[in-house]
Amino acid sequence: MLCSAGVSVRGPAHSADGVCNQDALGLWGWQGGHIVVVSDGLGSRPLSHIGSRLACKVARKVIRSGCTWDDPKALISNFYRAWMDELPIPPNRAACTFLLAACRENGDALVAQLGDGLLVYQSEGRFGVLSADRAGFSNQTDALGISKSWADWRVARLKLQASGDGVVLMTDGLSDDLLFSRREAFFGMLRKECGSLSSRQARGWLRRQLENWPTPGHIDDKTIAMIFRGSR
Amino acid sequence: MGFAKYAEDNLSRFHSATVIREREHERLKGEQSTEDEKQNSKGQGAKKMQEQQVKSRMKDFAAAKARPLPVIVLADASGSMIENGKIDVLNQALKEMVKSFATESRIKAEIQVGLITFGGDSAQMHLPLAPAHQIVNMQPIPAVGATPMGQAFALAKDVLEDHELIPSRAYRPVLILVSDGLPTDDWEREFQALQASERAQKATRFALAIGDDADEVVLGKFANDREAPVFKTHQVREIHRFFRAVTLSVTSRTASANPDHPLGLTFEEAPEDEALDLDF
Repeated sequence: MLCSAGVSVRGPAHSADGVCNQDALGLWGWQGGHIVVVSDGLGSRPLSHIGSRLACKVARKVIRSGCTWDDPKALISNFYRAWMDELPIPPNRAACTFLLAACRENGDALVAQLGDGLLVYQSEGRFGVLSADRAGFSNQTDALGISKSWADWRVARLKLQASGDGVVLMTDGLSDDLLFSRREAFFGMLRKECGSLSSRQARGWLRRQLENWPTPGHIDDKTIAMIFRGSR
Repeated sequence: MGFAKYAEDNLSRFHSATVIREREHERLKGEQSTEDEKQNSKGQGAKKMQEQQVKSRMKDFAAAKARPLPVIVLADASGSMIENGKIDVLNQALKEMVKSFATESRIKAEIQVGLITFGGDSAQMHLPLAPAHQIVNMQPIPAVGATPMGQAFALAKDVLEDHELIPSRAYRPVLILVSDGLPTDDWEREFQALQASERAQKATRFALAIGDDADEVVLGKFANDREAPVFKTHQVREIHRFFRAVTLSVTSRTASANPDHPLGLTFEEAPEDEALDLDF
């Protein structure tokens, strides 16, 4: 059985400034499967929260419209076009990163990423990382509204069929402080902790974790979402 | 039974019942409050344990230090820097800057300082990149020979591209170029390489030109912050003023809500030149 959970918390810097959370989280059930999206509005664009929220909604709409996954490029193009069509402001003012995981009931999953953040998975018992290593420094990224190239996207088809398989998506507020060598262990810990909880309990547990993030001086908004296949 | 009596009776009954009920309730309340207290103390204990658990679950996976903010100085150590005590003033200004950085709070960002010198035949890593608060004994820069600025650019590029030395979670680094003369090597090729480097090109770059002989073209190309063009000085004491502005810019970043946001240089007002008391 597939289960999903996620949470988004506003970063200390935005709380102090009275600015809204620029991250967005989308989490939906879908024909026995799940769609999860996390998006991080760029801090340099004051209206980027509009873009990040809309990215989640449009992703759900496009995936639910029943389009095929056999051509991920066409799917991403449809999504990107729909996002720009529905935006009430110019795209570059709403720039945001985008991480998507959609999984059908049978475990057939599509994952996609544009920009920073981290997407890790276990597919057929094997751990993997979709995200590229960051080339520059913190807060420098590709994003919806900026990037026009298919080469900037990272897309993969996965099979989440074995017990313990899953996918975890997070924005850079978390991934930048996550120890590189502990990624797989982090995935395992989340699966162990959240796998035994209901979505609501998992959300509460994740919220407490993110609100008590141990890295000194962390400032960014933090969003995490996951899909796991349990043994039930 | 008249009306008053009826009312009194009712009141009395109500009063008695209330008194009895309240007594019962008090007793129950007492028991309840003791129970509550027990529950609360248990709850607080559990909450504390939970908080500790919350902390312990993530600390195994998250970085234990604030993000670094690297500051790398490319200092001219050619023979001409000896004239008018320029090198001595530069050494003093650098020492003061590191001292100021060391006292800054490391809650939001940890300022790290590295010093590349270029003089004689080659550029050298005079002070490897290290947290400012750990730099205890900074050796003065000796000044000698030619001005191999290109080599300094190459060395800076290597440092900025080193993911071990400067992790990707670091805030945008600051590069500071200080020179009083013309480069004596193939600086253009190395500068182009610096600009072409995916990581190195993203650093914020400031430049200080000392005296009339400084190559303002090179320094002008180097400085990439529109709000902070090349700072030109003809007086040695102005070196201090430049580094105080750099210190303020960096420390303001560490104190700001978002230390990644680059800040220009804000200079203190220059001390007014006092006129001599001459009558002509």
